[in-house]
Amino acid sequence: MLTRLFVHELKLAWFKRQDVLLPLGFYLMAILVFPLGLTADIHFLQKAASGIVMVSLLFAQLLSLERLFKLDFESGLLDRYRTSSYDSSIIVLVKLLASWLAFLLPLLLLAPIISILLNLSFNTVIAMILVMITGTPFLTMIGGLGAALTLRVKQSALLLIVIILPLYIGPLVFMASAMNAAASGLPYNAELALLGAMSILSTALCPLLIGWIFRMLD
Amino acid sequence: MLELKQVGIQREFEWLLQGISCQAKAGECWHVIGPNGVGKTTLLRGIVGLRTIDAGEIYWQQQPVQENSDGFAKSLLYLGHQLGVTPVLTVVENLKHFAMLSHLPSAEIESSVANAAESVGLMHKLDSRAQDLSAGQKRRVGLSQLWLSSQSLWVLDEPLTALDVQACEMIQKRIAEHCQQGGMALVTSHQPLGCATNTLDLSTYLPSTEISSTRFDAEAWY
Repeated sequence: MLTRLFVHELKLAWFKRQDVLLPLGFYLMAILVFPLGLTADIHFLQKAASGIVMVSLLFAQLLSLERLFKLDFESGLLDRYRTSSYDSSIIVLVKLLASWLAFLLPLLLLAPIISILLNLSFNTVIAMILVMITGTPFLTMIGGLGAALTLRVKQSALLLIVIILPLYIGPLVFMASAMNAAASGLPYNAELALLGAMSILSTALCPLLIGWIFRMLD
Repeated sequence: MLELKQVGIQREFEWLLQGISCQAKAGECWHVIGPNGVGKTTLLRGIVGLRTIDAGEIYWQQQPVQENSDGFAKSLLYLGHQLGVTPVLTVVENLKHFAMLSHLPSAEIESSVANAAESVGLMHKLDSRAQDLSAGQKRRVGLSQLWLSSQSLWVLDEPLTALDVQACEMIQKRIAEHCQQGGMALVTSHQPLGCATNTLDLSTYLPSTEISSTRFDAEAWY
């Protein structure tokens, strides 16, 4: 059943491509525009690259959050899930993992383009990819918490960003510093381990909390 | 058996309904009636656990539903105003998803889905996106869950809205069939229900004036 639900969610992401592509388009454009606005100095860009990439990633993720449960809420499917004998938390976990994958995969495909745009070294690109893989589960899971809390609010995008952005500061610091370390040839295992720990912890806890929030919805 | 004991429903510190008691036994179809705004939907959502009830208790098979929430959820099919149809997916994908939620065994899904689509008259629309269908056809997609159900208790909120005469009859026939097979149903509808064996008129459970004085206490407290 879980695989069926997972496939169902991926299909949804595919058919609602615009919801996935909008944040990605935003991400790519932000990275394109930053160098134009800053300077053409390659050395400066290499130094600023980690910040540019990670901040853009953060905003792209924030843009994608509002949609997480909205469609199911509006179509009544969420009520159907809640009254079914499946645990809401399990359904939430599957949904969040699917939307994480739908967000991460195209992001990784863009990595080579970004490395050219920002003149990144091979090591830095590898670090960027690893950081994205280990860090984005946390972003999606915590974001899901915000999406669940603001589910009944119309035009919830701004409220959601206000709630979630402070929680993204921590991973942002580690993500950018891992990339910085890689750029200067230093090890970045510690940052990856921390990001991974945050992601695992949030993957374990957030679906439970979201399931609990759903039980409290009227 | 589903049993309501002195169930009361509040909205914003105001009692909507009080003292609802009834016993729905296997094979019975209860027609829940009452004027707009009396709290039919709120009561049904309370029964299925989508909101809390503010007084009384609900028993399923002689056990309070809180203690047996797993067993209750397994035997419950709730269809609200929104039937849970995903607009961007095709009819057959929607139906398969419903079949999965109703715990149909994987081997039976294909045949049950075909049977359900046939029953609601959507055989020729299987591969259309649900968003391209008419309002009535969309309702039919959602209501196909009645043919994909393994649950014994159906709680249906206004299943007949936006349906043509034929479809209304078809749904009622299906509910009657379900009850004959030992299931039970709670259905709200403003149309007469031929399949109903019992009636629950909510306008007889409006709060008495004596009780509504507590409402002012509550407001003062608030």
